[in-house]
Amino acid sequence: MTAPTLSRLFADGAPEDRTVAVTNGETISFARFRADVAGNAARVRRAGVRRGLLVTQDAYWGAVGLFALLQAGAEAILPPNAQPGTIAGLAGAWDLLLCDQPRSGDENALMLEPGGEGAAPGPFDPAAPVTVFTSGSTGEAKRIAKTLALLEWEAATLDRALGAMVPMGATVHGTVAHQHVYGLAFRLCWPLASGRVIAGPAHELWEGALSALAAGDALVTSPAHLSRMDGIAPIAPARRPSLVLSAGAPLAEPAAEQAAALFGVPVTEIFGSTETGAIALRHRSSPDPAWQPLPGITVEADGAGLLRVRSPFVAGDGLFEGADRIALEAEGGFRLLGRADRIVKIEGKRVSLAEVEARLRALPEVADAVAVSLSGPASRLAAVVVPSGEGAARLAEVGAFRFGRQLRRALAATQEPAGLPRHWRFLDALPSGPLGKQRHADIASLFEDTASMDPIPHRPTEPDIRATRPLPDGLELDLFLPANLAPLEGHFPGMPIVPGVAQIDWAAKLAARHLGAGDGVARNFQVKFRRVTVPDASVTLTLRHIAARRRLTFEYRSADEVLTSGSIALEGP
Amino acid sequence: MDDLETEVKALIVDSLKLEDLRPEDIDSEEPLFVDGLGLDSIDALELGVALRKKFGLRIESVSEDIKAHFATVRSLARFIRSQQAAAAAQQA
Repeated sequence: MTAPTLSRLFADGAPEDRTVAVTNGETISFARFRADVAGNAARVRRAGVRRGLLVTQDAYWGAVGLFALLQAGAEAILPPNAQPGTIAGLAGAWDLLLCDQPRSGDENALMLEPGGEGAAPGPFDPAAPVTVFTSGSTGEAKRIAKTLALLEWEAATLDRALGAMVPMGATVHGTVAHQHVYGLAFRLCWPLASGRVIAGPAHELWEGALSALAAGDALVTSPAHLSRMDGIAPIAPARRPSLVLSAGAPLAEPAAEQAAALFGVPVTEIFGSTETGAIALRHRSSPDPAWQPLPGITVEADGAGLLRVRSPFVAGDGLFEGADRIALEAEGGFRLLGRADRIVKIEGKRVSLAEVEARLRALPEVADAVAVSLSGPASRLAAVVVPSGEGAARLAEVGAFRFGRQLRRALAATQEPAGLPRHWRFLDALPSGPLGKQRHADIASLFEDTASMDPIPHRPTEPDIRATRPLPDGLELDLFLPANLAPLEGHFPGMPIVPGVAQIDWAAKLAARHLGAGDGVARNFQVKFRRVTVPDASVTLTLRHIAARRRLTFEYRSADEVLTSGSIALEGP
Repeated sequence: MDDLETEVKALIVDSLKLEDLRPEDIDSEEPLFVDGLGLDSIDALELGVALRKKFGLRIESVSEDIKAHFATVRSLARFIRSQQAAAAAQQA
């Protein structure tokens, strides 16, 4: 087999009936693909376009648009997303928008169409410009200039690294967009160059992605999908993929294990960036294996321990300096110690939250971990840990406080005292949601009451707050009472009832936290139980602060029925 | 009001932890994504998990465009019913 190339894809040719893509239930042959490129290239050329913005939802039409622009001698620009605001923000950077879905309001839009008249596409200039963007999770998306040659080298390198795993003619499915470098390389360039088949649509839902799989296919996905597979039955052997790829963020160990069990193949993680393309990979057949650089790529640590990559895929001088802290390992492998930019000051010392997390995850007692700095009079380091099987056993044996101290001692081997979490929470799973401010807030909220450790870890001690509504003299809260609430343990065995003491305790705590009324402890109270309160149900709690009488009244209601009512004498502030 | 639709609404509010929204605030015909309720692709994945857990949806049997089923509460309820009917027929 000859080396895969993209610039000579049409010049060298391929069997006319080779399947290039499947989309909309249609099988696209090489002859059809060539005709689609030729016809659309002629339309682009007639429009006299120098810079084309490619906004396609379907990876096949993305490929047609990309090669039509190359054939017409125009720059291909792949915007970070198709949102009108993003497109508007790029105004002035492009002359014509190429799309595969009707768009309203965009002038200069050209809808890609099947076939048409046009010259046969010839060899393309390897230096032809292709512009991509960073996803821009923080601040503005950054524009990165690539060339066709860079995409071609990357596709060839990926084929050397992974090609043997995936049968020729297998279909490459995806849940990620093809306009970012990860999707562009794996869903579009690699299949085209290497004789695999592009699956056109990106599947947002597992249901769609899994129903499209056939045995030996590849799946290009991400932690967003792989960490949300609960309830999916193992994939039948007749539909098992040969390769499951994940990139974009670290894949947590429980998700890696679950995915391997469901797909029957370990997840292959890709590490890279928009600037560099893919840098390294690792197969998640064991917990936290070292990363192995792709063939031809050298990974080094600079003086400050930051990632430095020498790669033929990097435009310009081939050198990229990243913000990830790394530790080099034997035989060219390396470990990621986290981004250098998640640095907080704890007791005057700079602490990398990501490094604390990486060190925690490396402990046998820990499956996953998130570190946060809690604000307050002095910032304090805190960690939320999902124990491994071994860790959970230890936790059950010694309790949360001692388990946290044991983890601190284990971390002390690599961390300065400031880098040792003071506060710990142990959960079955980390709060879900994309990384970002909201998730940080969710994590930090776990430490709202840092004075006491959870007496029974793994169980919530308070109801979930679903909504809050201010009242002139208080607050109304919609609460959900999970069946696994810790305070239910030991009360009324065999009968699921929310004990009255817990209801009084919650009223006092929530009033202290949300109304600043009292010190969160009910020492002197009156209460009337009108109806039994059962868990796994929603209730509404009304709190009123009668400041003049230094009392708090509370009332739990279900629909319009009062379950419990009472009052608490306020002490403290 | 359809009981299953009410259940689906409660599931959406509970599983996605939508604050300041009650199940009855969701219209059965309202698009769940983008223009309507404004759910995003991560919400769709979370909702998928919740639906599988609560209703035991079997996904191997889904061949047509799954996104159409997720369009509204009404289409989701219809989808759940058809899946349940298919499962019952298989058992019979």
